[in-house]
Amino acid sequence: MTSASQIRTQIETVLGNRIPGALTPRPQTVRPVTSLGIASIDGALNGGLPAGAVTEVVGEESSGRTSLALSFAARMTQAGKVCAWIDVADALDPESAAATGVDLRRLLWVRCRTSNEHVSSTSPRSEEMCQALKVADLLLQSGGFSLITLDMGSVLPEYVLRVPLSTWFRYRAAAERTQTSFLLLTQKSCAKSSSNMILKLRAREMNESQRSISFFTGLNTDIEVIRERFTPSPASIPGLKKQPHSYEAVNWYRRTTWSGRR
Amino acid sequence: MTGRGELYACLYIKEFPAQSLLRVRPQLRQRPCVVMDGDAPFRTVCSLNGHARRAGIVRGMSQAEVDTFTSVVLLFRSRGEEENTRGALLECASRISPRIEELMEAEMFACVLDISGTARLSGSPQKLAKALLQQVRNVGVSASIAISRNFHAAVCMARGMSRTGSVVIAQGEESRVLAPLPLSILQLSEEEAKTFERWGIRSLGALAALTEEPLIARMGQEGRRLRRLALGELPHLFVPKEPQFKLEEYQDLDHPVQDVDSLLFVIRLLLEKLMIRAAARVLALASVTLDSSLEDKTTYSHTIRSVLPSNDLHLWLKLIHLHLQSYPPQAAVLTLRLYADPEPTSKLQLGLFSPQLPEAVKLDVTLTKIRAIVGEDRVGRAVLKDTHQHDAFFMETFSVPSTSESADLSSTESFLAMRRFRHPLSLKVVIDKENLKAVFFQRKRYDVAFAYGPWRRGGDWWSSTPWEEEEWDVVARDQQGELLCCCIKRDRSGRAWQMVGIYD
Repeated sequence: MTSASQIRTQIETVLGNRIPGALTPRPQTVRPVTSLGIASIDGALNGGLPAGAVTEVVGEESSGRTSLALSFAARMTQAGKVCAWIDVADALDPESAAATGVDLRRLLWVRCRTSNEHVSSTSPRSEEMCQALKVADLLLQSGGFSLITLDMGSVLPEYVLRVPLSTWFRYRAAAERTQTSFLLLTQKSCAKSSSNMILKLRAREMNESQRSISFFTGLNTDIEVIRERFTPSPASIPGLKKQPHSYEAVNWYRRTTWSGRR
Repeated sequence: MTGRGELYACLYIKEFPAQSLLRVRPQLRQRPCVVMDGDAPFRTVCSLNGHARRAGIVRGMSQAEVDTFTSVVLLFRSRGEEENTRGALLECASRISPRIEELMEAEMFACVLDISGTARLSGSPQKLAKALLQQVRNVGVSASIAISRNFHAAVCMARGMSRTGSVVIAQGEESRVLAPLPLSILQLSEEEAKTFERWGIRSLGALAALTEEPLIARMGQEGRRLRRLALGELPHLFVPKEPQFKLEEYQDLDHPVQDVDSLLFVIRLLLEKLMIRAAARVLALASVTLDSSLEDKTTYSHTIRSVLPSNDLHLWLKLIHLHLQSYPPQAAVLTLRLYADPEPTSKLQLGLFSPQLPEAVKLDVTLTKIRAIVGEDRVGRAVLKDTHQHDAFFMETFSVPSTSESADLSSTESFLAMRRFRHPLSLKVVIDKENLKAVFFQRKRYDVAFAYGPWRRGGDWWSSTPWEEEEWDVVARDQQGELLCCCIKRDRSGRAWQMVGIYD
């Protein structure tokens, strides 16, 4: 009687030309992640943000994108790594970064906004976008940066969506090669399949206890993973159908520097 | 120290300022010439030639006194020409021996050559002195040369020679040869000169004849030193002058060049020469200065620095290329001069497979490229200023810190970050009975849900630039329900509102 393994070998030999290793489970690649140091978010993200990949953090103003990116940068710089912040709108506040725990000596800050002609507008335009994309290319190619944040949080989505998809694909390939975590802060998702993970952030209403205090204490944010490539599956053999994601939003509270712990 | 194998030649040039000027003005050599030093009207004679001395002019005379003499040529001291002559003389001396010690004396030039062991190369000391004298004459100055086994004996003899020429003092003959020389060549202090004058001692021979112990009892160790000088026995620790290592290359261009690529071709050749010279001394280039004269009679001078000293030609060419692209010369280049500052070569540890940190040299090139894109002061790391004022920081050149400090990585506290508007952004605010009701921002109306404030801030009241402002933290919603948390401020007049930043 032929054993199961013999039958499998026979089938694989027959299908070898068309589907190599048809019945052999693919070896799972361990994709490294870097923890943010915030237990609730790390739990929801299966350990943290992926290294060597593009992660999109999308949300409206005040949704918490900058705080999340700075928390990640703080974690990286505290571990002795070097990070870069490409600031399209020149909006980064070094005081906030230092308060979050970012070692400013290890943070390369590139401020793109140079022209004063449209200062009445809050949104940068194509000139700054071009600068930022070129700088991102250079930094990704040079290597050695553990985290590169491209902050386009103030750029209107219609400008961001004009960036060709090939650009994001190039960034993804470069990030993979140099094992750099590439964080993209935008209002709407734009990198499509080039991003490993898309996090959607949404600010929540203040609760009763916050309202009762006479000064501004902080904000609550809902974080939701709306896309994740290479989701770790418990089964060794992937199913024929891709399983739908079932993520739950995680609540994240950020307090102001002048208020105490809750 | 005076040893058996030692031999020194002292090259001594009197009236150095005058000789420096007359060497390039041969037509004046047969006329009485004086060199004036100082600012008018206090100019005095600092140096003169033999004709002027024979006419009765002495050092220290004022210009008015010199004017009383007829047909005297007045020259003004030129440090530049003295420096050129000095360089030429040192070059002559270095052809005889590489070990040269230069003596600092006012209005004179003196250097001592260590010529021990040069007999096989230059012949006898007499022959060597003759050859050196001839070389110095070719420079256009007249000199005295004295050769002795004792350093100080050679210097004293050269100083005391009344005529130009050369003297070789045989071993053991130092005291006898020095004996007739006047005491003034020992450069005595005023007090010492008076003492010896009182004692009736006027020559080195008379000083050498004194007994050592009573002399020490009266004049101390200085007396002993002077006596040993007179005897030609005082030892000396020879400190050779190290020639200054200058990395400099110069190129005259046949035609004016403005094209960067063509310039880089010439720069490449000059850089290669500089690097070979630096590498021969186990040094590397830390910075390169481009100094060019341009067609429009202006100059172009820029210094390019590398984060680490390097002899990588491609790296330097890339840095210079990027710099020339960012700051191109305003006109075509006529001449090109490259200076380099050498520093010890650096050690680089390359990553095993992928770099954990940016490589310093690669990062330097990347930062230069980024500077060319966004501007010089828009790249770097932020350094916070010691003040409570908002947005107080300055930018510093970014480099990877060499030390890694261990930090507690257990958990990171979550703080609310701000996105700051650095250009003043005016706001429209609706106020009802001192309460904020609505904010108009980005052409949208946000109804204020909560407004915390006013928070009055101020500082620098002790300086000329005091600041004072009122701030509100505002939580507002637009018509679609989107939340906006921001910080707004009102100026001191109380009318204009501005957006400080958005909490994100």
